[in-house]
Amino acid sequence: MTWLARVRSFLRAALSRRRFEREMDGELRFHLEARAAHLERGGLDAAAARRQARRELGDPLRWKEAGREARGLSWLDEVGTDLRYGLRWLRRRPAFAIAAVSTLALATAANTTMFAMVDAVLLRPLPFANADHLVYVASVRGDNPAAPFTLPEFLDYRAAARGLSGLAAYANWSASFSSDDATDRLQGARVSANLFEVLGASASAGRLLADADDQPDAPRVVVISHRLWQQRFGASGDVIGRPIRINGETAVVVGVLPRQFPLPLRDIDVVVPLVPGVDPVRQARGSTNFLRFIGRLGPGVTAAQATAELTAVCARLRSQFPVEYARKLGVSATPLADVIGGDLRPMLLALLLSVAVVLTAALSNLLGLVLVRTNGRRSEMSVRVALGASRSRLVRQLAVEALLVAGGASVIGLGLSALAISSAPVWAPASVPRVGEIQLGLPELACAAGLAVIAALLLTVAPLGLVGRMRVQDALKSMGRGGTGDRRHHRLRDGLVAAEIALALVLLVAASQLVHEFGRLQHVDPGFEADRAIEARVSLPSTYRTPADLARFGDRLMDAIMAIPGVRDAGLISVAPMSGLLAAVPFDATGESAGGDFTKLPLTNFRVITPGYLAAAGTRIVRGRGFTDRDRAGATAVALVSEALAQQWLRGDALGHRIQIFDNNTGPVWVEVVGVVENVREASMSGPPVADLYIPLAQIHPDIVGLLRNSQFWMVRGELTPELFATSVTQAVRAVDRDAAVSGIGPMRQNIQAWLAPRRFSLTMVSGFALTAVLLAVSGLYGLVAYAVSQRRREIGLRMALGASAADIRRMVLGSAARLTATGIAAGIALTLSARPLKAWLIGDAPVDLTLAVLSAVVLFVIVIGAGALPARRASRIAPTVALGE
Amino acid sequence: MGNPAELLQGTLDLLILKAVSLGPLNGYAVLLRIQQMSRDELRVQQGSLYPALYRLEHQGLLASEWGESDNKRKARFYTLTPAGRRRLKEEITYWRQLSGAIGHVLATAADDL
Repeated sequence: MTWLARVRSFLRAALSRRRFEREMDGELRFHLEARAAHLERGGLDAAAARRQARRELGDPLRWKEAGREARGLSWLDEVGTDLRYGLRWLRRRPAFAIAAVSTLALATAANTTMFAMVDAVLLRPLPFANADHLVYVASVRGDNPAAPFTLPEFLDYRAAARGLSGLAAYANWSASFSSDDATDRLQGARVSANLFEVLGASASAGRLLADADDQPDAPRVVVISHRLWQQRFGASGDVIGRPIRINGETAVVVGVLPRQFPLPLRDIDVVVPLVPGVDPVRQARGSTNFLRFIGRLGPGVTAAQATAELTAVCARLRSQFPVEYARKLGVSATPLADVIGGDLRPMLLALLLSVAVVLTAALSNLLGLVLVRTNGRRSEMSVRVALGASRSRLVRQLAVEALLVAGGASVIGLGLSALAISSAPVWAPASVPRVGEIQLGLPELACAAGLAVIAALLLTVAPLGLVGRMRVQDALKSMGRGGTGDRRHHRLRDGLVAAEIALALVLLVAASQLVHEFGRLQHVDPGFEADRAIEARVSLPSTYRTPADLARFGDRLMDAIMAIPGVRDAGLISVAPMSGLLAAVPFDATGESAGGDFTKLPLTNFRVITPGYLAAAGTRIVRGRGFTDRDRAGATAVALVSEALAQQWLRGDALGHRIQIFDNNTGPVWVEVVGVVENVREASMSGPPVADLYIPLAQIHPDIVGLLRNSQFWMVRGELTPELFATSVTQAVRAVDRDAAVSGIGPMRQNIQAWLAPRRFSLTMVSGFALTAVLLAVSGLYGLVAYAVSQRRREIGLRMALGASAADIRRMVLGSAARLTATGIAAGIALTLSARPLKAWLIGDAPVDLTLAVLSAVVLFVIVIGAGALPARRASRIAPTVALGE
Repeated sequence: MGNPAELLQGTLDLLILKAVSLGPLNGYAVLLRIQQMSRDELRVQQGSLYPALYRLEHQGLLASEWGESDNKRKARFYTLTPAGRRRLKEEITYWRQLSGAIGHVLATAADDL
């Protein structure tokens, strides 16, 4: 194993270099003395003996160099020299160094971050045992291919499904969590106790639910999320076994969910058992479909086989219960991972493609910059060749420089990437699941390293063409002009730069249009006082069962809120505008009694409000009046409508018109319109105004109590800040009912901002890409023009010697640059107007704004030509004597 | 013999290994020993000695350590490692084969062919 011995010996010498050198010196000294002594004994005098000895030994430096080479150290020394030289060279050209390193660093950061996101969301298996065997089981209906199930169906399918080794169910459930100082509203889930076993998940602390917890007389238990554990319980172990107050009832915390727990239902904070045994609807075949199923495929069973088997069970159930299960056509089982990340696949892959394109453009630009630099180094290279450097030595030096740039850029890029990844929960759009799993792991590091290697290879190979063809005598003469190979390269690079310019134009047009649209949307009149009105969302526990309960709560809270100093107006609404919640009912404005089929009737947004709401929200009453305290239960049923509803459905005077609304399970209700209010932006800031219908809280049907329990929004207006209101209203609510939860306190503007958030993300991404593309186009053109100038130095010198002025030279250089830029821009315009999928992805359905497009084209042209101006100016300054004499 | 014969690198390695096999030696002593063993017919180029010693040590055939010379001077002494001993045996066998073959070639008379 001599190579092992060699490595050991090399390391020993390399790591204690000084000792190695000292020992060589010592040996040399000893040898000289011994030889001199020998010669002295032979008769010479001391001085002559020493001289002779030294002469015999030869040059000690060559001797020591041979010693170092024997130990393999000369290689190390040469690389060290190359590194020092490379660093010095880079330091003397800060513009090139900064351009090269920053381009590559940004491209590396973007690619690594995007890859990390794709890896976490699409590639990596779910953090459960054997996650590829998990399937999402959904009910296939005519109106919904992925619908939930009823509770009786869960019991049936669980018993009948043979192909699944386990079937579990979960349902959306929200709860109020009361602690000593605050009551919050939490997103939760009711799950069958076997869910965790089916998933193959393990607890971070304590235990997860077991079958015993699903029994009717089991004690109330709850499992909390890792995030809740950290935020509210300080991640301390004594939370296990602690009783907490959920929805007004006590439950004992038995465990903590794993840190990553991705389900199609997101941001779950509390989990409670389903307890199907005592659920009142467990026999009701026609009850609500609210359960989602997750199953684990048995050994050797595929998702397709499971689908077939479950559909057969569905058919059997349908024949048993033809009325209740009429609309259930079948059952589908799809891999859970596809359901969780699946619909984001196109967007993420498109983003990945975009950053890859950015990387390619960046590398091509870098190449251009390097070629310019290398051209300027021809004389240096030729001198080294003349002094005896081998070709491999030159190549090694180029490689070391390339690695310096690529390595430095890689490190910086990884740092930026780590920053981006750690802040991913902030900037990643809300639709991206498993954001917490995005990390800088081994695959991502390998990706960054791979990019660095590719870049280094490219940066080494590119100048080789110039170096390799060099012969000593050629190089010492004036610079050659390059042959046909160069021309092919040139055309390729021209094409690449033109493509970059085209892409930059497309993105610039898209970005400017998105910015324009976004600005417009922000100033649309929403129909309420977005900044002056403050809202707070309240949810009530299930102890509130009748309209009277709600009215009592409403009155007491109203009193408490009006007592807060600074409050002028206050009121309640069931669903706040732009809150993202939907509540719509069919209505009939023809004045005749509608038949039983209300599926053909138009829908209106349905809102329950108290008299003070309109004043608080700042929604104007256009005609008639608002609600007063006289609109009580038992009095005439009244309603307010929006202008849009009045215009479209109530021709003539809306006031006094009678409408039938279908807001409950029993039958339609007649209401009389007593006022028309201005149009309010309900679900979107763009598009036509929508129909709204408001009824007073005091007159609601008992069936709507559940809706108002889960969501009611209180609005206030007056002389107070949101922060002050936050503390006061929280106290007020707690004072009225300890188990009522308050959340989402802020100006009403926050709903609009939340709606705008995905648009803002889109805008930011496209603007970012646009900026990058423009930068790349600019640096690409700069590199191209600078290279051309450096190639044509002799020609330019000749022209100037023959009488061309500086302006002529500048015109000549910029002329070809302008032609190239114009080509790129023309291509970009053609692309903007024709490529439908690209346009759809970037700016959606809106048509291309031609004014903005032309403006963008002009701006881009000026910017890009500006980049070419610098080398053009340098070209015009070439002294003819210098250029000709090279 | 007139001028000292020029030695090929491989041959120098063989001579060094043989010299050191008889006992630990410092660099200068290796020189003297080779001269002595060749009955003064071989003089090693002093410039090529130490690179050869370092190379052999790098390959694991020699081991070195610092000690005291006869006149109480600090010097580096080289010894043969087991791998070195094995290599020496191989090289000797090879050398004998080679010189035997060359001898046959040189001894061929015109009528032996």
